[in-house]
Amino acid sequence: MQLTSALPIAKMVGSNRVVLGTGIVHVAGDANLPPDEEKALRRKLVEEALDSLRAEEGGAG
Amino acid sequence: MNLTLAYHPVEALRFDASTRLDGTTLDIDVDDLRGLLLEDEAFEDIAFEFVAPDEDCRAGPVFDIIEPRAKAASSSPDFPGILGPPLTAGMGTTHVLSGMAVTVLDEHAAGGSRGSIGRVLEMTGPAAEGSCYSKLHHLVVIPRMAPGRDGPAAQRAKRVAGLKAAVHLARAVASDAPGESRTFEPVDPGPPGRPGLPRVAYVGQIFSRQRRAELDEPVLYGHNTTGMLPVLLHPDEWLDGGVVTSYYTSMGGAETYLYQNHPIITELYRRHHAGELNFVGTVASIAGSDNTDRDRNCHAAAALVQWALKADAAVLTKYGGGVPHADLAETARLLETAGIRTSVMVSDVSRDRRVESALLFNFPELNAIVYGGGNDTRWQVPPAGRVIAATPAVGELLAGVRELGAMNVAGVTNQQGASRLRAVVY
Repeated sequence: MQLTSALPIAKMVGSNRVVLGTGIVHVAGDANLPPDEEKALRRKLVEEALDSLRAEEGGAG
Repeated sequence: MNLTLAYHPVEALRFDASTRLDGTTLDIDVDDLRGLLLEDEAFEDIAFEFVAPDEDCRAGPVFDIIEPRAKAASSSPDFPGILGPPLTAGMGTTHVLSGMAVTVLDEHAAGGSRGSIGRVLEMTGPAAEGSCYSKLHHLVVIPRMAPGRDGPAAQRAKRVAGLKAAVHLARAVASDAPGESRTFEPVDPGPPGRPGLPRVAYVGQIFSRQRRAELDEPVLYGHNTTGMLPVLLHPDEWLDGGVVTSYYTSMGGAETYLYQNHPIITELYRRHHAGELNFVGTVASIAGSDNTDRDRNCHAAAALVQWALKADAAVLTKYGGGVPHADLAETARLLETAGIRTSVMVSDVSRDRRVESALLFNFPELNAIVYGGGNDTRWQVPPAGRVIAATPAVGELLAGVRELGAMNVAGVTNQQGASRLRAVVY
């Protein structure tokens, strides 16, 4: 699976499972959040990423 | 809008007691100029050097290069939004000291993809042949920042100082008759005007949100572009100080000189004057910070080209590294889908000389792709006879350079189409 904020590129290279990250600069975090909230955000993204591995290709992500 | 550029050719620079153009020799009172620039307390001192075309000289790192220009009376203002209120640029007459530039140095390299030497002004040898700047006379401005003035405060001071110096020099010829004048034929998205000719627009990224703009970083009429949506600009607004380059030109941003002499806009104008096409206007856009931002910007830019400019074709350039590629390609794809033919400019961002590396997209519709690159081109260079730098340490570093990459030589490769290099895939 691919965690990215550049969805067009992920599609073009043929990634079959894509989870959208926060932004181009901090894909798997958010520098505007306090540390505990950012940690929760990271966990959520990682869990989504792991869940996507169980999903059908091309499904919701 | 009808801009006239009044060219005053400069063939030599000379230190003198007053600033004026004597024939084609520009006399410069550097004490007067220093006094003007030191009004900004961000500087402790400023030194000046002259450099001649093809001289055995290397200067750097370059912060910016600006063509000296000053607006005539009752014209639009000089660098609106930076040196004065943000009124519309591009109207009336602009006096140009052609054949020269104001070149502002950094105290040390900014880092990033251009490494420890940043961009240098290379005046002779094989690398210099690739740069338009080696054929100019340069007034090199070497700032020494006051203690504690670094980061964005220093960048702001250097940006303003370079523009102020450029305007100050050109004001000396504001009442002289120019050697040559050029008035641009009106560009107008309104009436059809030129039946049978394709209506062509330019879409240029002026910033990429893969980094955060400094709060007071002037890019578009003094605005730092944060939160901006794509905006229609008359081509003369680009040429006449409405847009300047960002502080961060790592990954191929151009100097302000190449906005004033924008390669794509001036070429579209040339073809417009030659009756080959109908240049209908431009859109300035930025590369987005995330997926939503990208979609919003790309759709808005494409809508302006389609509905406001009613273009048949568009030329697109990007700003920055790999991510803006995706924004560029998506905007072009939307235009192609709407029946508007596109030509996009790319460069090799991964420097492995493979055609795939120049592309981060693969849309069959985008089949007119121009490579403005050269990031992977390197030259063996001789030791420089004369080195100009803000500190002895940087001077030593520059003197010892034996190899220069295209990214490290100002004017060789950038995302704006000013390049003498081309790639052929075979």
